[in-house]
Amino acid sequence: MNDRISKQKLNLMLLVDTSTSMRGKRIGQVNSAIRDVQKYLTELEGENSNVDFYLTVITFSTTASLLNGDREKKIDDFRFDDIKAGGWSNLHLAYETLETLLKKEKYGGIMPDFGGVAPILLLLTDGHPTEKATEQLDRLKELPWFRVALKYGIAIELDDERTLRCLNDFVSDNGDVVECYDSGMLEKIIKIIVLTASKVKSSHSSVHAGEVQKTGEIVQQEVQSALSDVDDWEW
Amino acid sequence: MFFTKTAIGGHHIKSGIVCQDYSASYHDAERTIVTSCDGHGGAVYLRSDRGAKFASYAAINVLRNVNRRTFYRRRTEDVANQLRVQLLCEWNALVERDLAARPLRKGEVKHLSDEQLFSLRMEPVKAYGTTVAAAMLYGSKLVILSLGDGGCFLFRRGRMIPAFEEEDDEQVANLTNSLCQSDAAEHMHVGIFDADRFDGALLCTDGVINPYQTLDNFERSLAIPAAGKVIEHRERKLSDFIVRLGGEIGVGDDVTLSILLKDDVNRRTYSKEV
Repeated sequence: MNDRISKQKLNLMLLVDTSTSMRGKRIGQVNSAIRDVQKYLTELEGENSNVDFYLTVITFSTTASLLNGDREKKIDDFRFDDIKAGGWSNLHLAYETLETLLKKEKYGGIMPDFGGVAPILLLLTDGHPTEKATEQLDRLKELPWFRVALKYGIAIELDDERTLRCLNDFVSDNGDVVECYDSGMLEKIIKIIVLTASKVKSSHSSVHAGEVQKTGEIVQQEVQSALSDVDDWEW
Repeated sequence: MFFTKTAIGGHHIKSGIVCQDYSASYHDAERTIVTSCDGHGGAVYLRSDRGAKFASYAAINVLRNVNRRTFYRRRTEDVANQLRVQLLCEWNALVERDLAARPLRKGEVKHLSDEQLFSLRMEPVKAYGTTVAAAMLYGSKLVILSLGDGGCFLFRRGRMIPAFEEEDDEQVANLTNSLCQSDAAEHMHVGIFDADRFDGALLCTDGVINPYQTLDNFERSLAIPAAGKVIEHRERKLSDFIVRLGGEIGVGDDVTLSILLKDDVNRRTYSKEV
């Protein structure tokens, strides 16, 4: 009876802006961060008996696509080739891709029918979306797995209220937006958010439906505390 | 035939947390009842182990009082509503009695934040937050009550099917509906089935079902073989497995499995490991 038992799944899903403006140092920092995150989470999984980490990377520019075509990949099986940048910034297409994933397996998504840990979603962008993504985001917000997800937005070297609003709308009431004023700090910020959130989320307890926000707040406090060592950021 | 087993989870053992699951059974000449309840694990639910125990007691108290008149010339939905209200009243009464006898002490709440403390002061019942599931075989009826993310399934001809079609898809990850929420009645499922059509029922807490992740896997790897063990009177083996599932091989959560089967179930249908 125990031959098909798995640990709980914790999905880490990255939505990476790969438009032309991300070329150079910015995308380089993202690539380094993902490599380190993969290495660290593989180690964490070995130490942690509660969860298996799964990674999904959605890149969006003129089109949106899943890195290597993988809807999800167990962290130690994830094969990472550097992401390249170029094109527009069609965030709405990334949201559409995310929508197909954040459903239970029996409905064609990647989330478990039973159990699982609320996923961690990280959206990185350095500019305003080419087209409106409101309709697609509204559809995402109807998905229970999106609502329980811990969401972070990283605004890369931008001083644009419209884009910040867009990121704030994405994280809604369960997450935070971090402004990264120096792309040289991007790698560090990504790693702090992902690794801290993963650590906290992998030791979860059941709560009744009204308490979801409080679980997110615990992670936010931990992330905020970890980020306090980084000089060049603001909440 | 019936079986209930609750075992502490590995995470609880390591962290020195009490087992917050609870199961109970009741059997007499007319009926058999089994329960499966899961107290929440968050900091604010500091008496959820007692909440789960009270949920089991409440369900048994309510179902024991069901008689033939309960169903006589009444619509199924009216009976279901009556059971919902009775279960909630019974559980809340047990909790209030416990709170009156043992008010929350400073020592119990010292680890809570101001916000959590405030929320508990406003709604002390939250300390007892728990799910509940109960099944009863009574004459020609198979009655199932459920609130929360526990599993409730029916057995029929060697297969397992969900007891409730209108699954609550809001319950994802570690979120669950609870007896401690004000709109609990709206989320409580009550099924009154024709016992002739089914072989029995299986209830479990999320600690049992979550490691199997999909319905198909759960059915083939645990539910059907477990029913087989009960039919073959090899409950000890099943019981040992549940203890291992909780403490060693599962996801670290407490585990409860409760099975209720009619005495005339075809053994062969459930006898093989699927």
